[in-house]
Amino acid sequence: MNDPDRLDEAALRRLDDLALEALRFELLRDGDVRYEHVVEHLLARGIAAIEPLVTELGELRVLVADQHQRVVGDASVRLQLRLARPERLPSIETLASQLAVACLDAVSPAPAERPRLAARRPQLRTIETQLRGAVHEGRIKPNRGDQS
Amino acid sequence: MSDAFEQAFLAAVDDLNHGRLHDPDIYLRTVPAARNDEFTRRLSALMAARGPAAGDEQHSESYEAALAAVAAVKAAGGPAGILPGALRQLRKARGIERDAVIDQLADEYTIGAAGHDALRRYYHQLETGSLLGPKLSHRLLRSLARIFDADAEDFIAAVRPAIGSAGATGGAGRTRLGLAPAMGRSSGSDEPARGPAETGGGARGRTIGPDPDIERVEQLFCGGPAA
Repeated sequence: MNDPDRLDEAALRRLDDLALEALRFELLRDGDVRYEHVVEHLLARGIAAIEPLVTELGELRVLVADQHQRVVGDASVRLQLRLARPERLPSIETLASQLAVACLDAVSPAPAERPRLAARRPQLRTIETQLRGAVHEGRIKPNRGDQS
Repeated sequence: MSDAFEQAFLAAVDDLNHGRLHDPDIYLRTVPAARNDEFTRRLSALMAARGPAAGDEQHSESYEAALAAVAAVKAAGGPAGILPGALRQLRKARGIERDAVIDQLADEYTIGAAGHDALRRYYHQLETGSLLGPKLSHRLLRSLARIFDADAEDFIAAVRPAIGSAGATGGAGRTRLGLAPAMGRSSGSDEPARGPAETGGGARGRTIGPDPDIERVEQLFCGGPAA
């Protein structure tokens, strides 16, 4: 049952994220030592998703190199902990994104939006009302056709 | 090379050249099944021969450092699962000193001076993988999760002994290392306090003394999930 032989590398690489996750859950539930190998594949994919996301968001928050490295490591270890859960998990990309953002926020919170002044409530009037008023006041004269 | 193989391989190389290599599945869909391994092998060899793309050194360093971190966590796995290694790596990533963790635990559980030393010893044993995961109280794990800004369920799952390790549970859910550590008080013993790691495989604990703070610490680290 706990066959230490590894699953075929090519077969694991061909699995999409959700299939790999389903396999992880199944092997973990069954106490199959090969679950660790599947976790290695998931982690490789997860870290590959975390790193560029932290790079992209980190640039907006002006992260220095050391912070970048720590955030990627932080999120990766948390991902590793999450993959120990004996339950069905979202796709590795979803998990990686969630954890990367959370770890980034812990180091450098997202900049708050600048407060905007609320526009004054417009006093709307229909065009007909305005025209009627302007004609009544003599500001404009109705177009009688012969003047166009 | 066959047309389908060649086309898929050239497509992959083109994407690789433009820095947009997709998941291998996308290319393998058009490759004969019998040649999937060959495709993967040749593309991997090409990528290895080329090395990292120019200007990506910083990204590669973070990636490699993250791989090293998770490898270190896994290497430290044992009777307390992957939590010991994870705690060390998380402290490093977040800049949390060990004493800060111990102080926060002491505050939360109102542990006095005598208990503080025991807390320090047991926490050291936890991080060095000397404790049994199934004996850690969930209360403690939740406290640690709060300190590390982590999900408590992740910590609870992480202390399951690594499959195949000495502390791993069998299919029936029984620990292979024996009974729970003795929690009773020793009467008048002059022996120095020793943690579970020093009492033969971690299966039995010794009472350190009658101090209630010390007993509270023992409950947290050795009393079982419900302690």
